[in-house]
Amino acid sequence: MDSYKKHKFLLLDYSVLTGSIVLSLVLLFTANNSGKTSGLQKVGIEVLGFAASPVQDFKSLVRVRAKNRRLAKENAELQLDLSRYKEAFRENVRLRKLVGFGIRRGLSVVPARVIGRNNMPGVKTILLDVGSNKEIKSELPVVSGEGLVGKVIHVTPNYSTVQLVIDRNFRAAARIQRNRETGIFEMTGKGFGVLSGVHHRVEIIPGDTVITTGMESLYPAGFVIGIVDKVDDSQPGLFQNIRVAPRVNFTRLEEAFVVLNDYRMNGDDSRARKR
Amino acid sequence: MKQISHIVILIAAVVTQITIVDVLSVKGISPDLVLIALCFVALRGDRYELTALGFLAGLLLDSIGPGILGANALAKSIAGFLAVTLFSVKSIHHLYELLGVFAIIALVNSFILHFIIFVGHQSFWALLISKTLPSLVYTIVLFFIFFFFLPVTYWKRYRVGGGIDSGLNY
Repeated sequence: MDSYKKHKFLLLDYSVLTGSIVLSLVLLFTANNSGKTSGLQKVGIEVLGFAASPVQDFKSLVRVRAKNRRLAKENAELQLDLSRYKEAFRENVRLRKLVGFGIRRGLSVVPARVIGRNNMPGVKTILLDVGSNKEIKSELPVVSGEGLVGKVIHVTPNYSTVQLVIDRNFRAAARIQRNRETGIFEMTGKGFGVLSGVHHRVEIIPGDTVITTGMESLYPAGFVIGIVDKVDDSQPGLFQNIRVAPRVNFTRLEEAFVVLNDYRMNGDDSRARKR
Repeated sequence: MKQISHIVILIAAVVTQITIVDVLSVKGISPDLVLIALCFVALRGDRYELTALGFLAGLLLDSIGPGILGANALAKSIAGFLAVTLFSVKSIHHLYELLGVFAIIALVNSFILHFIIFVGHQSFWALLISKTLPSLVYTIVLFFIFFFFLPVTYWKRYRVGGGIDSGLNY
């Protein structure tokens, strides 16, 4: 009887192990190729979002006093900056009208709280507490005050997952803010990114700011991606090896904004994102 | 009742992993708290139960990742199975022996994940050294700290070192 029981349990053990391995492999080879959020993933995101939300609330509450103090200081500084920029903006509008350029519209954004993050080596995502109930869709850009955060990859009714700029599969058309030179920004998986496609003859200096170009259909123009960290033009070939440190501090990121609207210019609808 | 407590422990570990693990993060290197919780539960649980729980916990972790659904599910289900099997070895009497067994489980878990995520990547080996191994070491250190403060009688009472539930019980 004991021997029968032992064999029965052994069979159960190995059946569950085989089942788990087969199911995992099926998921690995099928669910990841469609590019869509699978039903299973939606359930997982909803469960995790529901469980993580109160923990994040508590975490935010603990930090609220220090954060308020910092925000009050930042607010005062920003008010001063704002009055100067308003003046510059009015001047810009006047001058653009004079030369027949369109006026850039403001972005329509949905504020969101970061309630979870996936921090496995090479895989960097965050979980936001907004979903399709607030008009969030896949592929929408996500930004913060510091710069570009990433793009929405999975959406459920109440939550969404964002692939971060520091994810190893992230790529975006980028531009050096100082001299307007363009290239492709991509992450290496080693904690920094590279700006590829910039010719040897172009002068790039460590400390240069790398921003989004707005030329591709995904990200609005002008959002900071990172800062040039190191330039190596000693290697053979046409292009320089430019190392870029991401600007946003992702470990401290608590809030982000999902950009909803097109960033078209008046009279220049060709740059509008198709949605 | 025992199974419910195991599920609660693992869900708490997954939630902790995605919410407050950044507090423990050092230069972008984070420990795998779910693996530690899985091994903790493995002291008391059955092998089929831990395999299934590892699969579900891994699947939850995978659900917020970009396009690798199944990676953690595979790694954690094998880790759960291994944990119960190896913790049942009767020659484990000391914390360092327990740590050695955990290191084997963590190594298998990390290597499966690294292989799935970075296969074909030009810096496969460099990333193994710069990212995956530091994370593995960090997880082992945390496991040591956790079990160092846990009374020896607790883990000996269960499966490890010939305690009352020693062996696979069948």
